[in-house]
Amino acid sequence: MARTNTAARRTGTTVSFLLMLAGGVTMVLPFLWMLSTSLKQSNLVFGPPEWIPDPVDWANYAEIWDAAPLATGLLNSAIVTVLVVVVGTFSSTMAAFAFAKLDFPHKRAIFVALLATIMIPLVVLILPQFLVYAQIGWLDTLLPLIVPGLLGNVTMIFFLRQYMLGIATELMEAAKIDGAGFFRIYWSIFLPLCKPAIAANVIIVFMATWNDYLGPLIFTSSPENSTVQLVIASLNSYYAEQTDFPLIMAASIVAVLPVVILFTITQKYFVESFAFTGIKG
Amino acid sequence: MKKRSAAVAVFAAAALVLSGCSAAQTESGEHTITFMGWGSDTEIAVFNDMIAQYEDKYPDVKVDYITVPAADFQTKLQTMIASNKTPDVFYLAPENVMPFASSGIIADLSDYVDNNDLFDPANVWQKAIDMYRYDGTTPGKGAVYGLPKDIGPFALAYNKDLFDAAGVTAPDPESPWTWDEFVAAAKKLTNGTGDDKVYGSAPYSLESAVWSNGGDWLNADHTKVTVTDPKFTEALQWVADLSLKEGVVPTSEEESSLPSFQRFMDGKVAMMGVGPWNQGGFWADAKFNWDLMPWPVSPATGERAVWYGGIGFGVANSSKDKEDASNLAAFLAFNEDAQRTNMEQGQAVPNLIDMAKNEYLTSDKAPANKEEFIRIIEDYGRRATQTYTYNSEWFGLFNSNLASVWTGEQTAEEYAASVQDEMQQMLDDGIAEQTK
Amino acid sequence: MTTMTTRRTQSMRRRERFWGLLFVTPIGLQVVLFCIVPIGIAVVAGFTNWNVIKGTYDFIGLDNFFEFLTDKYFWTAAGNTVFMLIPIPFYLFFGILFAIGSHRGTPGNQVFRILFFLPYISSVVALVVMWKWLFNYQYGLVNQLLAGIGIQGPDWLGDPAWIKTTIVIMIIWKMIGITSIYVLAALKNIPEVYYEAARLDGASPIRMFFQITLPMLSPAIFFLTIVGIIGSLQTFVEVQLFTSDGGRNYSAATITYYIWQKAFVSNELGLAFATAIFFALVILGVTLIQFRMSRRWVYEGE
Repeated sequence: MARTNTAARRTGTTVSFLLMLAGGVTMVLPFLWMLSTSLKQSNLVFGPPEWIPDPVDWANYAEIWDAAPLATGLLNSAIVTVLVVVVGTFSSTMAAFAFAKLDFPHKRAIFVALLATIMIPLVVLILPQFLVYAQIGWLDTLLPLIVPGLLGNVTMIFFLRQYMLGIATELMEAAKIDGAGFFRIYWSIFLPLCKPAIAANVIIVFMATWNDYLGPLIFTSSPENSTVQLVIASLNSYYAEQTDFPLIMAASIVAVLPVVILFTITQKYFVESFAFTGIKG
Repeated sequence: MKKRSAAVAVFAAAALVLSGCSAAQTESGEHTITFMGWGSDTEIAVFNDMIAQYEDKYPDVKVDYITVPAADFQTKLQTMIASNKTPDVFYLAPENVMPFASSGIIADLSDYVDNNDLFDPANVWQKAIDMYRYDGTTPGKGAVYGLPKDIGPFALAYNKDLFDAAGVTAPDPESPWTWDEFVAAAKKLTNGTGDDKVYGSAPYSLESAVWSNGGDWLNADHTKVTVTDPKFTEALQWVADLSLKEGVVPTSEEESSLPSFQRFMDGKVAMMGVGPWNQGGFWADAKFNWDLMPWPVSPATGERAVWYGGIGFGVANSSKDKEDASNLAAFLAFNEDAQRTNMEQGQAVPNLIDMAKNEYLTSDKAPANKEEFIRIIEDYGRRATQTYTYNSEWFGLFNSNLASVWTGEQTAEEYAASVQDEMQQMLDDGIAEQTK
Repeated sequence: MTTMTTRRTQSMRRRERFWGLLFVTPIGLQVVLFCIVPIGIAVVAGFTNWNVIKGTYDFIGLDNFFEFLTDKYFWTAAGNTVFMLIPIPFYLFFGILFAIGSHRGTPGNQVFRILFFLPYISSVVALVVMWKWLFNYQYGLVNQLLAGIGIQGPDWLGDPAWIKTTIVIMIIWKMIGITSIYVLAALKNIPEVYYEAARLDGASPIRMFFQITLPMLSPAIFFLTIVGIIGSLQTFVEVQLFTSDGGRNYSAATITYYIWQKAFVSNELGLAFATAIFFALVILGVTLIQFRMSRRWVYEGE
């Protein structure tokens, strides 16, 4: 029996590996192509596909800093994203905890209201929001991109609530008996238990904020306040005929690189061994 | 502990950001006006130069130049107008003059035009200014609501080297080809297969074909859609057949894969419509000799026609600095040094007639036949039909599935018949909006 | 004795209420200020014919609603929008598959995780430009590869019959990575004990999957489905960046695109808001139905 099991396990792992390989290749292929294109000279891009450009031309990577305010864009994106992620995570986890484990008046109603807000097509909130921001002088600043995010993220709250519901309430009862305040319970018990879920959500909020295109487009106007997405979009020239693919690809690689590096470093921490062990069994 | 340092970090960062917002404190006496437009990097660089020149001339005024990608410009402008933040000066398309003027968004500049010390209206192309006139009923006449950034005639360029290689001689400016002669020449120029294929021509200008043939999208007072008129459908079919039957123009799918512009630059297309804004790019990147030729005439009428376009500078009616804004608009439109910069960068034909006819014509950069640009402006160029109506939704509809004619799925007549009624409906709706 | 316990319970309950409300205050603020107020404006505007350029508006009752309900473009967009739901089962399937593979400790795990995430972290603008280039009719990699095996690839971007499919493929590709991360987090929360017990009972891997894994994953799947449907129904940016006008024959336009067009291109804000209100109610309805159905199959830990 042991032999069959090991053999079965090995086949399972091989199949698993092949599948992951196929998937991985599919994911990364377009990027390799993007990288390859960014290293080609502008007019040589049209023609039969070559994976290794000949000649390899790094000029685009120098050109992008001049062609557009890429550095400012990166800085602005960084400011907005870091603030929203750090503070927003606290706001979101607090709310998720409250919904999952606490009882307070109008809880169901408030939750449904939150849910309802996801369904409003964003593109239509933008115009009235613009009017509101115009009245309070926040236009052409980074504030409209930061402030709402500081107060929390509904998707994150939703997921974390689901996750926390799956965590036994006995933990909380035990803590209450020990005399712990609700904030302590939230901070010292539930937060650490939710690390994988929080981590996953942090990445998502980070990406969503970093990649946000519509918001910066409508709410900011000066190049000094553009985020990196706007900068890339502006590289499309006025006349569609003259789109410089290699240049845009190069800019996109530069915009994606910090995020990729960040993810590579932190993914181990996030996704690895914070598995909940024990109490349930 | 973690809480406090996090909070401190947040407040510090917030303070930083907020302080950045109020950093626009201007010294007393100095004020700022906003100017919004789009453009390629070259254009933006030229504008930055011109703005610097303007700020030198008017030291009390600072210009906040905002650039937005062209595709998003309309959206951005509208949201700004909606919240009373209209830029002092902004790109004004001729088709927006009517709706903007009747809604009081743009300022009437007629007085300014007559009484200013920046330019002499007599020295400016009549048609250029006319694009921004509106008398309350008909565009093209009446009060001036914008100053032209440039007037852009669409001329027919050709690759001299390809012509020589195929043994084709370009027609004299005074004796243009007929459509048949055009096709014959294009066929001679078309050769090769696969990646080496050379096409005789880029997709032909539909406006040129239709107008030359005596047709138009709308009737003379722009109240009726006339696309089912045989003069129109004949021209439309002819244009489509250049690719479908004669094979001298890239197919619709090929065009969307690689625009003819790029093909022309690569020497794979021999004739193509271009505007003065292409000159700079050609000087820099074209590795062949090129020149302009007159647009062919329709065999039915012996007439030729083509469009000219342009963008203007509008001044917001709500601007608190109308004088300065108008000066900026006029400066960008007519200041001699600015115009010269524009011309030398290969961006446009000067707005100033004397500069255009003297310095521009005598400059020895390509094209040799630059007079063709001037001829179109003065003689056979026309303003695009869709810029005469309150909105161009009817035109958008026409174009939305025009590809079915290019691919041969429908004939020109079938297509025109299928869209005529809906177009008319949209046109009527637009007229209703206008007269509200 | 009883009175003291009651008082303590009462005060604890009061504290619980206090903290509960306090914790949801930030998000509550966000919703009121940046959602409810703008929605209020939008709802009122839905019943007017607000012209942004002129700055005028009159109340016209339900006219806007009649207008879009009888607009053939609206219904075309509606069909396209439903089409945009197609990615969901696909990326859920692959996402779960890869999460399990990752959870199992397949060799090269770390690297795979990074790879799977690449599509999601890239800027949509750059992704679309890249994708447009990949699917270029003449020079795109996809058609070149297809030509290599003797198939003439279609005009992915121009042909009305294919443009939606192209967008859908890109969305599936983009979402697999992020889905697998979510599922992975949920997988890690399944106590190993359950599997051990099942193995002792002699259960096969397949049985364990269906009896343990899937049910334990059901909250996560539920979440992903809800968010997935809500998000897919609102597909907009991809359409706007891939096509400049909703595609030939309006073949790619979704309802959100229709709304955007009406608001920012045709300047018919009242109509746009009316359509948006209607659409939001539809989405709300769909979601509520899902919640109802979830009671049947979603496992919630006590």
